[in-house]
Amino acid sequence: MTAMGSSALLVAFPVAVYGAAVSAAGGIRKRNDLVRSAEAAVYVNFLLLTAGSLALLSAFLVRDFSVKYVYEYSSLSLSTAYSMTAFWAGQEGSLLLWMWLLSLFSALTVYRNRNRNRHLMPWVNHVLMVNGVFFLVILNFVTNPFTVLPGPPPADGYGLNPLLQNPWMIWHPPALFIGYVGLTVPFAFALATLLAGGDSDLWIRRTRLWTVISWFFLGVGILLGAEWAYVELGWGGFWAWDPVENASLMPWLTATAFLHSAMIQERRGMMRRWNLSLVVVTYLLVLFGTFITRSGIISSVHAFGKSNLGAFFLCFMFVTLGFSSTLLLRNWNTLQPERPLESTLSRESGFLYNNLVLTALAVAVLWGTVLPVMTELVTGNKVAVGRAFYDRVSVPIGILLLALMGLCPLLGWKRTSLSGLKRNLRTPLLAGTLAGLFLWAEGVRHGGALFAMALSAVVVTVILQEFSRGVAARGRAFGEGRGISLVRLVLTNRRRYGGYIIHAGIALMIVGMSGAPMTREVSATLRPNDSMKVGDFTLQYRHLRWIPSTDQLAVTARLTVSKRGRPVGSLVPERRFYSGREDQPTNEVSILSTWKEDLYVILTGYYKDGRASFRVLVNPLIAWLWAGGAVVTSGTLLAIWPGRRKDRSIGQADGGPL
Amino acid sequence: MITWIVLFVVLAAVALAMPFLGGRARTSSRTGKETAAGDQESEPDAVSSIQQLDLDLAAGKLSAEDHRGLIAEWTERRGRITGGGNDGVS
Repeated sequence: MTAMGSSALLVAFPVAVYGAAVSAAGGIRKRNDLVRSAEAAVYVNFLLLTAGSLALLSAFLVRDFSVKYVYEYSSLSLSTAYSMTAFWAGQEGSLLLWMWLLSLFSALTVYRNRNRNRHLMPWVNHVLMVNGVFFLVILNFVTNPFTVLPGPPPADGYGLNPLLQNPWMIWHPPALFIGYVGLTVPFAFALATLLAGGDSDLWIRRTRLWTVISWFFLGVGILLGAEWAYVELGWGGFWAWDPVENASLMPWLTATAFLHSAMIQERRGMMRRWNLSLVVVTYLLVLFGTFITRSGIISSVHAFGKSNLGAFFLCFMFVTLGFSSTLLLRNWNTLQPERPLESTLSRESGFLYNNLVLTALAVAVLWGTVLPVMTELVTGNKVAVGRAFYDRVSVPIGILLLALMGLCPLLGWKRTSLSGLKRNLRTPLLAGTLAGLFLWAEGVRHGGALFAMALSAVVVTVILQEFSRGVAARGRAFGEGRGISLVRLVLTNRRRYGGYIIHAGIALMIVGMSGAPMTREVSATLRPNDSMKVGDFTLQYRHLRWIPSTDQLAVTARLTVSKRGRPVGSLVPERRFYSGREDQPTNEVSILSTWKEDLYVILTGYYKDGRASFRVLVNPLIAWLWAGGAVVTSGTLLAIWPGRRKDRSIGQADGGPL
Repeated sequence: MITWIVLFVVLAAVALAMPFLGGRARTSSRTGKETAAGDQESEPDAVSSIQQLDLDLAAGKLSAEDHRGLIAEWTERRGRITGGGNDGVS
């Protein structure tokens, strides 16, 4: 199987080169046979990459330790599930997963466009294949997953990093990769539009679904990573502004901006240059994130080890930047907007402000991320910024963004009257004020958190108001009951109402994040039956246990918990020592979660006489973060769910107002 | 390994050569327009966005004049994008 995988990768390389060259030739010479042959190369590459990926997966499943990559990331004691996920635990396998996804998405793009967008497809195909060539060069000649160890195969493997043996880690990397690789498709359509003359808005329509799905998976990947950091790394938080975390956040921010500004181009023919630039920048940030993660230039718990891949990604990034910029400048004059911005108080201007704010946040995060590298290059000393910098920058920008989320749904296209806006804002502002007063009465005293939560209430009320108005309007027009009216309203405009649900989910997530400054923390070393108090909680330490199993030794501590004197449960934090990796014990934190707060306990030490040390945190409102993620997921599914082609409109029948 | 490489190369070569066996065709030089058939999927979007203008008017976000103007503009934009004949590869 290893020979098959290695051969498949090797043959995929010239096929990709052929595909890239022949699709460009077909585009220039307008030869359909060349274009179709290049498209066949996309399908062939997908089959070859699938064969290669199955070969590596099979090597993991049969524990073929003659393969260096399998030896480094697997062992006999590793469960079958983690043996499969070890596929993407290291550099080589994750790059193969990336390339397989790229070949899959390329094949889907070619298939979906087999009878349409024919003037763009040679160039779309060309860009996708050039990307494929780059990754296949890396996989074949720099870091091959099928490298065989010299001599007889070892009896056992080195095993998977214990930190990666976590259920969240099964889904986090593939979700991120789907997001990253998926963004290649809008990038390819954008460049294809520029290569084909740049005077079409069609690429925006054609890539909407790809962009939403990629944005969604990137967001899910980020959230799963946050969940993993929260439960596995054992430092008590979910986001540390780590360079690799930032690397995934930046393209998500610019992709979010693009999803909004694309609507302006689609509806009103504006922001053409901005949208093309934004898609290019988003893809460059994907490459930059990959560079950060894989070059080893910045140390991070999420990064792969040091490697020579950085130079390759840096070169590819600069080539992509140069090529894209040249194309943009060449087409600059044909990318004129159809009309100017007519008012500073309109949906168009609201989306423009939203784009500026999201881009400003991305730039701030980029600055904080590259500062250590820049200062080392210039002065020789590495200067890094910490959490304080990011909090100082991201909190005001985040609040501004939240305010725009509340304001934009109330703005009409073209222009909005100030009096109408004031009228529409009255109820949401009242709800926000009441929410603020309620939180104050509940003891929330942190100004920023209080403001963010009250503003989140404004956003959610605006959204509820939009649903309510739509339902009422349908009810008046058709005499439908409220339930039927709501269902039909949403089903006939999934995109808009799915978007509103996503906004509500983001507002809930911001409520979850707002709890962070109000975290309480106590550390203590206790004897059995000693107690400690954290906030309203009293924890009584009972005993320690040593629990051996086939591949690990777990040291567990049992604590019973009461809140204001009432028993609420027990917690069992652990430290695990995996065989062969005893020098890297992992924390298995124990969490008692409610809507109001998480009681989060870490076992930091233990002694022969039975004493144990604990770090205990009360993290307010964390559950809202995960719940918000679930709401965003449901909104996205609604927005991308395929609709019937012949949906009827309540306004279409007579073309008139309700 | 050589056997696998030969097998993959032969299969790939056959697949890549297939389009040449059916004869040549030329694509049009048109850019920026798309076939009506190719754009049908965006029809519900277009319908729902006009429906939304009605709701925006009812909510007082739009004036009657802007409402009429936008409906005319979007209908024209949709026609411009979905019309335009065949770009097609024969």
